[in-house]
Amino acid sequence: MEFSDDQIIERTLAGETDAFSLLVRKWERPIYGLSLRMLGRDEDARDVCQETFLAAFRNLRKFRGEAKFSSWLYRIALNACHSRLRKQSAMVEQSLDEEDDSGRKFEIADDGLESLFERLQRDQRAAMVRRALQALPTEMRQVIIMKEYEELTFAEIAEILQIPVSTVKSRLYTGLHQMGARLEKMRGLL
Amino acid sequence: MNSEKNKFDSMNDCGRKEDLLTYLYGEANATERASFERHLDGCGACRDELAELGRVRDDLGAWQLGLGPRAEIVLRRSRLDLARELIGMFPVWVRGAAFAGAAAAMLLVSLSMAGTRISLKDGDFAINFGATGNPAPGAQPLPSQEIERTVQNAMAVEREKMESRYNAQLASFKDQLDADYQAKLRSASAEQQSQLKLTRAALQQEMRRFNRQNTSIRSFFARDDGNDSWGDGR
Repeated sequence: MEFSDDQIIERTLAGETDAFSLLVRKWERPIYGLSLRMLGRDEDARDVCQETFLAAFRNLRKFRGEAKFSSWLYRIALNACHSRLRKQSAMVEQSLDEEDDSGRKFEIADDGLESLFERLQRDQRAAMVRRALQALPTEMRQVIIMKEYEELTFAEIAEILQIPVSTVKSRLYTGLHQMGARLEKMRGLL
Repeated sequence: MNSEKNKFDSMNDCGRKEDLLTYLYGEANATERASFERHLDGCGACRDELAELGRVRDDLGAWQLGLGPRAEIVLRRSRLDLARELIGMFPVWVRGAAFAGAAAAMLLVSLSMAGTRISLKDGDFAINFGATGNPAPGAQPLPSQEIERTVQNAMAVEREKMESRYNAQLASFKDQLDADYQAKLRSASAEQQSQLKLTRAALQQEMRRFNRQNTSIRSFFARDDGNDSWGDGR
């Protein structure tokens, strides 16, 4: 039987702290994915993931259920990402370059059938997207990540960021155009 | 926010950019979709933009992550949780005895604090309520050591009772299990016997059939050998 987030929260608040691990299991991958795409570094993403769940656990009593639990969790994760980005803005770009060169951090599903050439092409394309995304202003990047990779609705993103839906769309629109221009430029350099 | 809005509008010549995004991400309802598709028929700029943004989305899809690591979250247990877990490790009867003992001790402490005197007279246990009751004539108030001993005795008696109840339950449970086991064994044995009988009967029938066939084959060859029907001495 699968429990809803609200039911798990209720159980956790009633003293069954182990129940919280169900929420961790359910949401760790989206939160990790969001953090990794926001920060570009696996270690940072793991740290943010931990910070997010610990903060959620500590503040669970403050969660009033007005918003969805996932929106609240995403908001905590984004705040953690922002504070990390502020502290390490200079180091992020550098670490991205290192990771791109070593190729360690690209975790692309291996179907075991594609040729090496196709795989390399895909890696290269992923690296370009990654760089172009990292170069975007944070407010655009987070909207693109939430829409494209987390597949949240415009309303959900608006709720998480506490901004109007029209602003979400505006940021997404501008961000996509900037992404397109950057990718075009990168392709021209190859 | 205004500057963002203006930027948004400045790229938007036909005023349908929000609709374009809603359409692009499949969030438009049937009416909105139909309306935007009608607009697309007559707006080359929107068609181009839709194709361009589609290509960007396609590129974005190239960056896929594998399975992320499992978050290692260690939640600190509160003292209350730890105590609860510790208590849970003891059998029910121990918990019951401890609870009964603690309850008895609390009762005695609260009674003594409320001025109630506990006394022993002629081997009888008597409780006198300070404010409302009078001490039994000749009864002496008990010293604290006596109270402690009394409580301990009461706890021991209670524990013994619970232990014997628990043992009796255990024995009855064991008997029940034994009885169930014996019944199941008997039923399985009977079933096996009946299966064995059926198999034996089937085997005998098969043997009889085989013997009949064997006899007819033997008689055929015996007849055949005698007649040499092949005519060439084979």
